Amino acid sequence: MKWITARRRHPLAGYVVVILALALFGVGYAGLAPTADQAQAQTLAADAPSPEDVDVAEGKTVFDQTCATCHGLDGSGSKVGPDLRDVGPAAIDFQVSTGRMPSMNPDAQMPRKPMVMTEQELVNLIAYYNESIRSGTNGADVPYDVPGGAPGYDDFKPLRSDFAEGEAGSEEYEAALEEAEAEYRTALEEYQDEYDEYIAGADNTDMGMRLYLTNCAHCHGWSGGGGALTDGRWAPEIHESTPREIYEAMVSGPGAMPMFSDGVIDPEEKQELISYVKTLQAEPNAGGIFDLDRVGQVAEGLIGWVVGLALIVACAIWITAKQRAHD
Amino acid sequence: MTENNIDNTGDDTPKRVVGTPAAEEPVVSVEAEQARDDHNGPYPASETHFNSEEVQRRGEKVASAWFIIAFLGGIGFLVSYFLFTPGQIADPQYGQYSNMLLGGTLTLAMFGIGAGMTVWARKVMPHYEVSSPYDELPSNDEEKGSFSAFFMQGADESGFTKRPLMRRTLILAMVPLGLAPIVLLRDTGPLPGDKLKNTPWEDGRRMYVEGTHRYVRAEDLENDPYGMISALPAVDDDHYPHGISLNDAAKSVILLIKMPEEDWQPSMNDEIEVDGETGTRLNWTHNGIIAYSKICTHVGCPAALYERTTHRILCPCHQSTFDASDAAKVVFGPAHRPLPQLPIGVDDEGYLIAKGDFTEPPGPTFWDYAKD
Repeated sequence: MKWITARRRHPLAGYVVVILALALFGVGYAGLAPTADQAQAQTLAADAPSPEDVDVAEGKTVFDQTCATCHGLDGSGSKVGPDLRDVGPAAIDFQVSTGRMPSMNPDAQMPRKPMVMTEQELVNLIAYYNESIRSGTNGADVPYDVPGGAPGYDDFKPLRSDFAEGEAGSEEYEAALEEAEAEYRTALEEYQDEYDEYIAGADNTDMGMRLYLTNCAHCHGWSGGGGALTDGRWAPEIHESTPREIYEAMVSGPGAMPMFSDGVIDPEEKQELISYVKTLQAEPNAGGIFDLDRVGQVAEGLIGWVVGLALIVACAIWITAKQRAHD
Repeated sequence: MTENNIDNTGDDTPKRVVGTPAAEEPVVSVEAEQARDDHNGPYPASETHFNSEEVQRRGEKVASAWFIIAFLGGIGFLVSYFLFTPGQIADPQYGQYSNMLLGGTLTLAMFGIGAGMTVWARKVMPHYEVSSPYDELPSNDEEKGSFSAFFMQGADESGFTKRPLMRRTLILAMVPLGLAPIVLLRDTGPLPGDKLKNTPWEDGRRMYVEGTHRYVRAEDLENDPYGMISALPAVDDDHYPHGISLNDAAKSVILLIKMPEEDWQPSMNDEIEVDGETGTRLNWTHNGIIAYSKICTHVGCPAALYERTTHRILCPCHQSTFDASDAAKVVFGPAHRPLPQLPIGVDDEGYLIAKGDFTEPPGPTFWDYAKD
């Protein structure tokens, strides 16, 4: 206290207070503001599941336990959760695979998170949805021919508890582990080939760019960094999104996003668009630690100019400040 | 070193410290000590200001710390220059690190020197006012007179006053040049006429999904109860890479929005009169599809942040917000008129067509339009 009392009439005291107040607001806001979770959902790049792979009864259990609280047992919605009967399986796949559903807080916009369910649970859930909840063929189907996320090693890893105790069990486990690793590597390579083929299959990136810039960039930003909407909502950044998630978002229109069905932007055009987005994201970010989410050159220039000029002015004030005779 | 620098009287043979004056040269601070009592600045002698030895010593330490930081920054600059091979810098990721390091260390070096010198000036150097008065500025009459006599003599000798023909033709030659800038103003014209009010949209004109050359059909939006798409008039002018000039595209781009019937606001059924015909806003939609100009009526940014849940169209530049379910009326922001609506319908083959031009001029409000 004494220390402050002695210095509060110092000529720089005013500046210090202002800077401290600004820093407090900035840090406080950053602490309170919702942050998008950057974790990538590890969904398997699966082909359309065949009937013998799915367990509809298991899907019903998943639905009743995780979804029915808000969306109702028959999926017709409630005060806190919307009607699911017309949204289509693409919407279910998008919301669950990006970790947005199940939601912990129905009043808040959900950020991207790691997926809560396993891939098999999601497949079962979608099968149950198609059989018992979906009205007719309303809504869009899951685009299984578009590559999803890279396979995760955890889906292949054997559990130690599945093997016998003791040395013999350990050896078996080691063998299974090696096999799993090989399987995982094969699956990863397959996925990579599928992904590369899909991205390379687009041959008119100019069209993809024009479609992205005229229909998506307003909200998601020209570099895909996202942006603000009204009433505190925001358009999420799309850097982490897999091609399938982008496709599903377009056909299902999650949240406030309008829909872009295959009629409006046909599948080939969507492939061009997605290829453009993924190509854009492969560009290295040259912004270093001050990348500003790549908001764009004009805004970056303005910020650089204002901040730089402020620092230079502060230096000039310091250099030329008149020194008082007695202090 | 600090002790040596300040007080080296204890030693019989004082060592010369690097960067300080030789012993026989007068030391500035001693001179200044004497100046304290008899200097003639605007402030009284008592206002001149010497820092105490303690402050000076602290200032010296701070300044030296800055100079050491600057030295390390300079060394860091050299290190960061040689840290990356030219081959590595070609990779943007490494080039970025290289740039950050080079710029950061150079900043540190230069800022450190500047900061150290500022501390030096403020804490170590004595402060007093010095003034050196100027002489009277105006020339005296004698000088002025001799200059004008010299000038007139030169004018006479050059023949400028004695040769009227030459003088007048020279002035004549300059007249057109004086007028030239006024003539060039013509290039700001011609007046736009009604070009600002018309666009390539006309009755029966089909539309392309912007970015493609595919006509939009009404049934393309069948599966989007809450769809949206950006569209352009289907013009195929070979002069332009995309079939339409950028000027025309900028004026005529539209947002096709589809929404369920029950979401329309009651005002959509109000009778309005355009070009002598009466109709309602809903008459100009087709099957739940409505077309608005995408150009914000404020300063002309593309306003296309469309929220399907609230039917708001938001302009990213100044947050003007329009309600798509209520004739694009302004609900927030600096825009002061709704987005113009394009009347649409379908032709025999099911393609969406315009049923005329916009009901109002699209784009930002201009001088002889909507003066209110």
